[in-house]
Amino acid sequence: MPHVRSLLRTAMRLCRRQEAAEDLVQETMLRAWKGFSQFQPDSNCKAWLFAILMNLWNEHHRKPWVRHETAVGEEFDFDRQVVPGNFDDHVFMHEVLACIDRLPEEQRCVLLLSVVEGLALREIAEILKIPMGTVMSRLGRARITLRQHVRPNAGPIMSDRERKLCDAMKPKRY
Amino acid sequence: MRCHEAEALLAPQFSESLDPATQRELALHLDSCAACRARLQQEYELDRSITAAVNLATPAADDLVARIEQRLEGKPARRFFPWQWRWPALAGAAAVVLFCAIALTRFTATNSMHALCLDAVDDHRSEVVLREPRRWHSSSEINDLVRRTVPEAQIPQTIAGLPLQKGRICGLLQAQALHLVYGNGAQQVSVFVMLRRDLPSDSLPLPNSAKRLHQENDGGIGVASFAGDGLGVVVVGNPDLARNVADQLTLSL
Repeated sequence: MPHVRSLLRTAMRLCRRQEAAEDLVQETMLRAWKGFSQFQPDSNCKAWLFAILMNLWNEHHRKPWVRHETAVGEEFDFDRQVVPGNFDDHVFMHEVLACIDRLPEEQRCVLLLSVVEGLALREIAEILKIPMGTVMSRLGRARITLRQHVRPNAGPIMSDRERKLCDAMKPKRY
Repeated sequence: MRCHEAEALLAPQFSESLDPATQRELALHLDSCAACRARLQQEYELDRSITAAVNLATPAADDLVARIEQRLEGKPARRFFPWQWRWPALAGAAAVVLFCAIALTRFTATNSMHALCLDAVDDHRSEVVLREPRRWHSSSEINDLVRRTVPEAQIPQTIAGLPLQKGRICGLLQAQALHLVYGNGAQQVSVFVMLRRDLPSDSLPLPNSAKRLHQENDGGIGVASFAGDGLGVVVVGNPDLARNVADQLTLSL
């Protein structure tokens, strides 16, 4: 089943609770299945799925109890994950993730869709229903914040193999 | 292009939005500026760090995929009512609705006839027992009243050994009825005869039947009613006598 992992990745950073994130992704896939006739074959399926996910998120996020649940929801248990590398790498990952989660939601969404999921800015503008200039400014502000708070010169945080994996996952732009 | 201009464009994702001329200028600047090349390298490092951190914080999706596939195959995790029970459930619901409808009809019919009978009892009590002044017609004038109110009725001159004494036209629940009084010096009984169509519609029995509709006591006064062919009859008086008269009228009317 394509893109479930990608959807879950973004949903986790939006909901911050695994159960809520999985529910969001499941609902996204069910809605996509029901509305598959609306999908245009020559368009980007991943962008279409993310548009559904963001719509659902916005629908639920408007409800105060969901927002409350998100605000006080338990953080993902990073310590239980098998993080490759040494202790410094582990701490650094914590810092990066904490910085992402501290970003305002609108910046976080753009950052995740752009940097992590590799969607084009034009596609993100369509998904979030905002002008492309707004997407660029949000992305720029998010990058500035992360650059300021993530430790500079933290040393190598990934092995060569992980670096190659990350590079392979990212779309080529330059 | 200067360094501060290049800095604003160094985010890897921005390349798609740059026009060809700006892209060319940026490329020329990066060729000549080591600091900006290092800065671009840092931007890539930042992207890798973000991607790695988010990936590591994402749980495995195998179970989730299985759950979604199960839902898509039409096997919902939870259903309000098991599908195999749908017909028994529907039959049960229909039975409950039918029962409620019948009970409501019976209740309404009973209440309608009860009101009619109470009206008849009131008339009997005031006009026959308490002898409140009314304009009565003698037994010899009854035929005229019958013709005006219940033309097809064959009114007996004696019932249960009691002769017809008098009669008058009255109203029961706003319907016209012929109030006949049978009796002797010791006891009297009122017989209200009306057209069948003036009985409460929801209390009518099957056509051409003479069925006892209602029987009750009200403060020591008995009342019994039935519907015959084209006629409805309410008998009021001593409880035993009223039932006896009603039974005889069922046969004669």
